[in-house]
Amino acid sequence: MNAIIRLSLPFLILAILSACRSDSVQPASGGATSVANSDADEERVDFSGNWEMDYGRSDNLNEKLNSIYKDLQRQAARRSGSSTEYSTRGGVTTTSNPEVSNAIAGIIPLAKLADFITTSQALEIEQSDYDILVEREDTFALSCAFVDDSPEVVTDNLGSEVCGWDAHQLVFVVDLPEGTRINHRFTLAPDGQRLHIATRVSRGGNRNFTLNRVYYRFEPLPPDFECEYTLSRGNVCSRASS
Amino acid sequence: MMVRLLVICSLLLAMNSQADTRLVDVNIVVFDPGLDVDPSQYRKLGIFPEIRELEARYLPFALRESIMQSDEWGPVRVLPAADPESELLVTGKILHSDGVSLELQIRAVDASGREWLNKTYSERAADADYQPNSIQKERPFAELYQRFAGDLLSAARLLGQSEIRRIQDLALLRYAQSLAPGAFNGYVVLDEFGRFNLARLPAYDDPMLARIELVREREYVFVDTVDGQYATLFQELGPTYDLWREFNREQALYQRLYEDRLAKREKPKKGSYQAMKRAYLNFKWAKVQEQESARLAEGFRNETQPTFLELEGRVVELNGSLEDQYREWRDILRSIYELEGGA
Repeated sequence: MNAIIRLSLPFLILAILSACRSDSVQPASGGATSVANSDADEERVDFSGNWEMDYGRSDNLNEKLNSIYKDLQRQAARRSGSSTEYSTRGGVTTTSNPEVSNAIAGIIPLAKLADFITTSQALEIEQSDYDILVEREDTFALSCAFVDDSPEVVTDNLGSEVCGWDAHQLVFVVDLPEGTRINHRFTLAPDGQRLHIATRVSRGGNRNFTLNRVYYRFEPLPPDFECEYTLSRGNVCSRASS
Repeated sequence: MMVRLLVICSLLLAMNSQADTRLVDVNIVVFDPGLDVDPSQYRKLGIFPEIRELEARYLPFALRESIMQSDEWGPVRVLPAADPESELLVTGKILHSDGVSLELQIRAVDASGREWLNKTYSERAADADYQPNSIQKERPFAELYQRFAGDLLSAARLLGQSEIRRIQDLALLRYAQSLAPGAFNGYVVLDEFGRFNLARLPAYDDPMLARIELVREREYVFVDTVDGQYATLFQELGPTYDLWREFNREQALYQRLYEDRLAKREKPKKGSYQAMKRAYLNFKWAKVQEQESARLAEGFRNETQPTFLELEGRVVELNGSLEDQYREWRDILRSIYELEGGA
């Protein structure tokens, strides 16, 4: 039986959400909808719809790692006063500087995990005034209930989840055993046609890696059949009414 | 000829004596579904509100079946709302129900206000309950219902026949008092312990009491109609409900096995990609399990909703839920009683 912990310190949770804010996320305000149970002035962004990954605008893992690597190398060179030395093998930049090697060795597992957990090419999002369900291709859905405007906290022995609004951004934070934290921050573009998900994986205080995925909105074709799942007969489908 | 007469006489005597020694009528109220937790926690607690609402109507009927296995009781009915003037009123609350285990808080109170039972009954489903071809197969958690039925019978047997008779009189007179307070005030008094006692009895052939009994019978017509619908619900939803419980049980057992296997595995180096990936995959697995439960619940709801809605909307020409209809029916009966000049 999973242990359920409802934290009673909303400020602590908000602090977690704020601490998880990704530097690369830009605010957006398009597609806003009013929410009955929220503060009168507050408007929540509506992420509803079907989304497909835009590879051109999304981060490429190797390029991002190389960029970080070069930054680290430059910083190390500045500190030591020497010139920057690195070579590229198989698309990945390497160096003989042990300080940079150690730093990058700490980041690579985080980067690989960020890449591994953000491979969904398509998303289907259903959102109401009370909750949101983000169905992600090939993995579990993210869901969040907007209860009394306080972030939802769910904990069990395999990990814990916090979700909630941070202004117009929706944030899901997953804490895994042994200190790994995953933070998905959803932002809608001002025109409502693009969805930006910044996924940050971190361990400890200063080791983190953020991978940005951008999705564009698409309208799925209407289905030929309408199916309803039943317990004893499985999916029961009938021809969709036009 | 003489022998035949003797047999008939003894049969009649036996029937009469059975009627005299009949225990009280039992009214079981639709259970409290146990949804008084924070709704944001339903998902993690594995509570699906619509299924709980349905279980709240389904489980009392399962309990009724077990009680009725003993022929000693009067009619055993399932009511949509509490009837405080019942000879014996059984109320219950679902504390936990997930297919693997069932936990109910059940209370039985008689018309005098005496509490017969107030206990938590819990039961884990046995493997045999879910074996499709098992000879021993019986409805899951049958033992729980039987244990309660046994406890109820034991409690009843502690009371003498005169006490049973007193409870029956109290129930009728409390009903009469609620219907015609002016005429029946003073027959039942409330003592300092909150118990109802008989102060006096009306005449055996009191015409007003006869009319009250008539109204009571009319009320039972409604209750029996509703009861018949609960029976239909029980029969029609039974196989799907059993399937739902079986799936949930399988899922819970699989989860336990998975966690056992997890505990035995060799752990990769802390902070390595393999360690983080494994932690993530475990979390993902738990989430997929949780979401599969929700899908099963949806499948259960899709399949049972038509029957459930039919149950909710079929009784006579009254509007609202069964509970509302029952209250409305009682109000109508009171009006009829007044119109007939009863009050």
